[in-house]
Amino acid sequence: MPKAEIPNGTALHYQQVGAGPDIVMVHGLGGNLATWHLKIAPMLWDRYRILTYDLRGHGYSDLTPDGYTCTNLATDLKLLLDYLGVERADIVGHSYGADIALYFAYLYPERVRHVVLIEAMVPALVPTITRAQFERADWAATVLEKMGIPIPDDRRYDAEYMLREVMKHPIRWGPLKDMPARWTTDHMIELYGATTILKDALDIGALTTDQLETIRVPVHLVYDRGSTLWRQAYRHLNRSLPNVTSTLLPTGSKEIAHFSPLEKPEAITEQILFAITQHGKARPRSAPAGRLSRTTHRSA
Amino acid sequence: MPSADHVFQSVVQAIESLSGDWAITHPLTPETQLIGDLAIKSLDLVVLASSMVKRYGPIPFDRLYARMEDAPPKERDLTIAEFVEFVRRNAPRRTPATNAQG
Repeated sequence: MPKAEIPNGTALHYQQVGAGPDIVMVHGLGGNLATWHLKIAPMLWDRYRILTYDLRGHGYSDLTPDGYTCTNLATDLKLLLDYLGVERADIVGHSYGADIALYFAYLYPERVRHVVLIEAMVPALVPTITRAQFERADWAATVLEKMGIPIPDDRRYDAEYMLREVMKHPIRWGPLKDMPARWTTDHMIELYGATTILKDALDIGALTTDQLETIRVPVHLVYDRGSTLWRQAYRHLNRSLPNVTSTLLPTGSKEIAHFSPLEKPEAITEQILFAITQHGKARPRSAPAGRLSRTTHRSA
Repeated sequence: MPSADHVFQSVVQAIESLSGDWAITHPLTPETQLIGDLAIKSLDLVVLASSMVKRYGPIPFDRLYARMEDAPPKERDLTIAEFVEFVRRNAPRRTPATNAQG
C-alpha cells in the first residue's frame, strides 16, 4: 500500500483518489483514514482529488515513540504534501485532526485554500475546560458512557482500562458494524501507553490564544449541538478567528455527538462543499440546506 | 464494463500488495470470503476499494458498505467474486484519466 517516507524518517500510509482540486482529510486520535472513506470520500472523488492518510501511530503509518504534538503533526502533513507535489489544498480535519488542520493553516498558510474544522478543541483552549479534567481522560469516560460502555467511578481516569473496554465493544460504524472489533488492542495500548501522545496532545506550541486572530485563511467550523465539551472551543474560535463561518448541526437522539463524520457523513459532506465553494461568496444562512441549526458569518 | 477476469486479477494484485500490513494466509480464489477467510478490517476494505477507484474510476463503494452493514452480523461476508461483480457493475464505462498517485 502507498506509504510516503517523509524526511523526518516516518512512513505515512496515504490514499490519494479521484481527480480535481485537492482536498486533504485528517482523522482524529484513535482513528484512521477509513473515517473518511466509508461515505464522505466516495461522495466527492468524482470531482476532487481526495488525500487521506493515517497519522503517525495510527492505521498503517509508523508508530513512533514521540512527535505527536499538533506542531509535529502539521509538519508531517506539510512533508507529505511536499512528497506528493501538492502545492495547495482545502484541509478538512475532525477532532484532533481539526486541531492539526488549524496548526497547518497557522504554520503554512500559503499551502491552504480553506480549512474545515469539525469539532476542533485546540490545545490552547483546553484550559477553558479545565486542564486537569482533560488530562485525566474524564471526558473520554463521558463519551464512552454515551456509547453504552459504562465506566465505574474508580476507573474514570484509567485510560488503559477504558481502551480495553472499547476493544471489547462491537464496531459501531461501517461495513463491519456490530461485529467484534478486530483492531489490535495491543497497538492502541502501545500508542496511548508507550508514546508521548497524551502529553503531546496538550502541547500548545506557538499557537496561543492571542495568535488565533492572525490566521487569515478562511475557516469553517462544524460542531454538533450536543457536543457540549467541544462547543466551548467552538464559541472561542468563532470569536477569535478573523475569517470564519460556522455551523452547529443538530444531534440526533441515537447519535454520539462529536463523531459527525461517521454519524452524519452526508451533512458533513454538505458542509465541506459549502466551505470550499461558497465561503466569502454567500451568507451561509441561505447557502447550505435547511438542516443547519445556526450559522454565523464574520468574513474578514 | 471491465471483464470479471480483469477485475479479479486487479483485486488479487491489490490484496497481495497489502499483505505486508494485512496478514493474509488464505489462498485467493473467487470464493474466498473477505471477512471469514481474510479477516478484513474496515481500513483494509477501504484501501482495497481505493485501489479499484484508481484503476477503474469513481465507484460508489459507500453503497457496498451500506449493503454490508444491513446484513445481520453473523451472516455478513463478501466473497471476492461478489466484490468483483460490484466493481464491474459500478465502474464507469470508460476508465477516466486520473491524476491519482500511489
